[in-house]
Amino acid sequence: MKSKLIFLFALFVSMQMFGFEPEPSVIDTIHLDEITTYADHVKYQPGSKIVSFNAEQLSTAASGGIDQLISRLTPIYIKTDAGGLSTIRIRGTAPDHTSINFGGININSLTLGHSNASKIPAFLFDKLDIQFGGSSAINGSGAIGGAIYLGNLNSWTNGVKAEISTQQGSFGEQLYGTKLFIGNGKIESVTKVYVYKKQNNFKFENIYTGNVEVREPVIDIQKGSAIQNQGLLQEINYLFSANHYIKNAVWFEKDWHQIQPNMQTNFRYKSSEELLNQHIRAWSEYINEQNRLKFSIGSGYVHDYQLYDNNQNQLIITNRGIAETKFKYVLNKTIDWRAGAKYQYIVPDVYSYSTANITTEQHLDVYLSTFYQPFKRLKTTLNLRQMLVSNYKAPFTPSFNAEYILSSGTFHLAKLNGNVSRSYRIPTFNDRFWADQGNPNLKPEDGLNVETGFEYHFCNGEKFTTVKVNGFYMDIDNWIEWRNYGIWKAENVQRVISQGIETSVQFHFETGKTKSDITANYSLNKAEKIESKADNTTFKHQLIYTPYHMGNIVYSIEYKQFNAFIDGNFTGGRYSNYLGSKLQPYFLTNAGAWYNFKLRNQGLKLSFQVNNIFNVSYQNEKYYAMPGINFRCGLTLIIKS
Amino acid sequence: MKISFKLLILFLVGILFFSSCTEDDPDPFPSELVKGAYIVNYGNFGDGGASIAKYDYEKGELHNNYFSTQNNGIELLSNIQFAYEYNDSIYLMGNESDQIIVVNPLFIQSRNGITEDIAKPRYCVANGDYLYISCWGSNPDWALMPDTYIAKFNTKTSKVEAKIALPGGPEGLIIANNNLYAALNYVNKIAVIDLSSNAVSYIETPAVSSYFLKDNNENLYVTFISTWSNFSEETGLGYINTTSNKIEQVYKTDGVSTEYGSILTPNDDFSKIYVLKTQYDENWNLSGAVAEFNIGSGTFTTIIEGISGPKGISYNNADNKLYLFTAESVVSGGSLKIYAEDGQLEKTLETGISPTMAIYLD
Repeated sequence: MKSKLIFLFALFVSMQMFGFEPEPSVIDTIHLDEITTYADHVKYQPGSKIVSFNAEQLSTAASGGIDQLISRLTPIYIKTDAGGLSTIRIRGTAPDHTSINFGGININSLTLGHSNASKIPAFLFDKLDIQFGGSSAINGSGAIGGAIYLGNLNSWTNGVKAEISTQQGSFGEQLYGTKLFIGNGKIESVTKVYVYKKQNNFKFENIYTGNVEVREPVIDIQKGSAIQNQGLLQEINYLFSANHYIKNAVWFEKDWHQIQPNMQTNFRYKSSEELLNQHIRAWSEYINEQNRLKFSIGSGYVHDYQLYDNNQNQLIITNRGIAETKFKYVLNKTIDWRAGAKYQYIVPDVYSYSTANITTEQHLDVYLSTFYQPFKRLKTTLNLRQMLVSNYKAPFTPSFNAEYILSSGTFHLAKLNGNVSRSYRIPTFNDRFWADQGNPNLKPEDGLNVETGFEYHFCNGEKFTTVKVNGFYMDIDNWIEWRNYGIWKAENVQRVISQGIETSVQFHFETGKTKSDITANYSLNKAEKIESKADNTTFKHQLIYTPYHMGNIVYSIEYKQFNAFIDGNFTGGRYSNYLGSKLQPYFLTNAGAWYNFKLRNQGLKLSFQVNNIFNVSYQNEKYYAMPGINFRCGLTLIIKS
Repeated sequence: MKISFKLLILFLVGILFFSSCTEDDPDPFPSELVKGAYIVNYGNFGDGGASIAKYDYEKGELHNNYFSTQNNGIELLSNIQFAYEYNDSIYLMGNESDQIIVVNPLFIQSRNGITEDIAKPRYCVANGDYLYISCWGSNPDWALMPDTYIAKFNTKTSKVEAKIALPGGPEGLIIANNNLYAALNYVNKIAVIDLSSNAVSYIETPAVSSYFLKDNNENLYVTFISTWSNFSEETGLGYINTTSNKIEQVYKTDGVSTEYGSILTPNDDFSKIYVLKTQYDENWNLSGAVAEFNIGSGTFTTIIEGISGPKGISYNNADNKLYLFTAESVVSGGSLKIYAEDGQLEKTLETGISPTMAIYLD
């Protein structure tokens, strides 16, 4: 028994070290609930694939958006240019198919349906969870391909702690940020503020000059692609007692960038258009989990503003108010229920929408989850959700998850897991109300997700190994696309089947005071259109910008106060259209190191990072240049009192 | 002796001159290589994909990626808004990147595209040594289009010699009676530019306009369209007397296409004009249609309905067929649909991305 406990403890510690927190197993789930801000998604989806990144890992991508971290450390394809626009495509799905959650808010644009991941700063968050596969029963509309959870730890600071950071990098990259924690153990204020700038004037080999007289590539410099983002995340939390507290968070974000010209335009550069986005995202939640009947009440407000190329006549604004309440009843350790309701009142103010078609919209989600552990080796959950939308019909969404411990012993644990879920996405406001092209008669996109996985954990003294294999099958019907019917209109035009296998291997070992971790991920993903109302030329063709193969490998080492890593990520070939145009695969290598030391009783962290070490010339999106080798160094001062 | 030497030189020059005109000298652009319909595939804005397809209407064969084949595999790196043939050169209006690409009748590009003073070129028309090119400017204000202009491009020197400011988004152009007429796509006016003085006057219109046709009397037909930013119920064809510069008649019809490139085309004897339209069927499904406008009676008759993804229309005088270009998506191939004059579909061929128009070379 003692050895099992040691093993499970060691396993948990190793997961923290790997940065991959354990997917729910018998012991660790409860612990996760205690330390993370929003973790019901873990508890009620035991058969789902969820990977987590901790603050240390987020800090390696602090100068920029979460897209950098995801593309380096996971086999998820991010379609991106050189920092202006990044969209997440999990398991062959579209950017609209990943919900991104901050507290009780899905931050995806209500007009576009997705978020620009390069504008979600890693600096502001302590924790990032990524769920693979459909999760609409938990996350509501849009979570067809996956979900991302942005989190912050409740540290309940007693005293004052401050972190002052700066990072300077190639191509005019600058980050200035401060994190300030003030509290007395009961009441806590956490302030995080950052300013990020990048001139983005990198050199690249331009193979699309259009110069027919001298056809050789030239060394060009990217122009008109500057970025300037700034944000503030303010939390005020109050702890009544353990499991009884109030959290308040408000996140202001102002992001501006020039729209990167493609290579051929860059060669004869004249000017760039620009985009300004401003957001206010506020979420407050009262949580009382002291008794068997646990409950929380939350409310929020979101303001999204977009100004395209300084044209005040074409503003895109949405405002929404959100209220949510959840009740959880824990009968015993093996059975509990959760029920809740979430209401949103949305007011769009978009230049191209007619007030005759839309002035406000209301959403009400009601959901019920049950956790049942019929015997020690088996955990199951059933989640049910029904969304109600004013003047629109959303589908009923169930999911069933299970996790079974095949074998556990002194040094090992083997699990089987799986889930079946329905997912959906109600069409965006643009899909339904854009000028005279919106189509209010669109059906919701309808997804079926079936997934199974196997996990094996082995621990032998100071060596830990984890192997995970997941297979998935997604059938998404009524996929919405904009098509030309004389005028361009949104239409439910196709059915897509996406299926594949994902594997992950993690290995931790210690030699003396040196701790090492190796993680490798690989994903094989076939995503094809199998039905289409319109053109018949693209059947059985891999979807564009969907690599068959993705993979990455990370090696990290810790010796006393010194840490270092090297990672490599492979992005397979992708079609850029359905006429056979294909982008070449590429492999990027990055490395970094940091050293923590004390200076007059205060902490100091020096860091250095090299990206694209081998100066690979590549295109992620066709015709758009990407930076070669680039450097970043950072200094963080940690002050405690 | 001096005279004899000069005579000898003259004799040799004469031989050289006449020998250069013998029938043995190969035609650089022989008809058997050039003859065909050349379809312009616009591509996907900002994401390339533009191409030229050559359709040999005598053999019924279509060859995609013709430009690339003729130029050792290089891509057309701009989205091609419009193509125009003039004096053994074809001028391609390239957007993103903005340039005028000049190719010979074999579609071989031997010189770099012209970029100086060219910003978002739309359409062009020639007069003497000059090409007049409608341009929308590098960073247009889409509401008012205050910075749009006409570029006066010298085809001999390949330089823009003048920029004639013309706010309002000039689209289709035509020359009649020594005036350049510019259809303004963002205001209810047609601009009339005196080619001698570059002075601009305007004709008020009931809707924004897009393209012209010129009849045998040098008078013009112009399309009036309804757009999101300039809604109008007065859509159809206008008839402009170019002597008085007045709109003499408006032939109303709903749903004139707002596509760019080629939405109207005359038949071979100019007795009919075919107009690309968008309309709802009885089940309120939106689709494309082609209406035949009878010049004599001034009436429209729908001859083709239910077109998915209508992009352009063109009448081929060589085979008396109606060529319809369709594309439902910007990431997959479009279609060339060939119809008899009565609207019977005869053939469908796959093209590149977003075909919009054709030019005919022989």
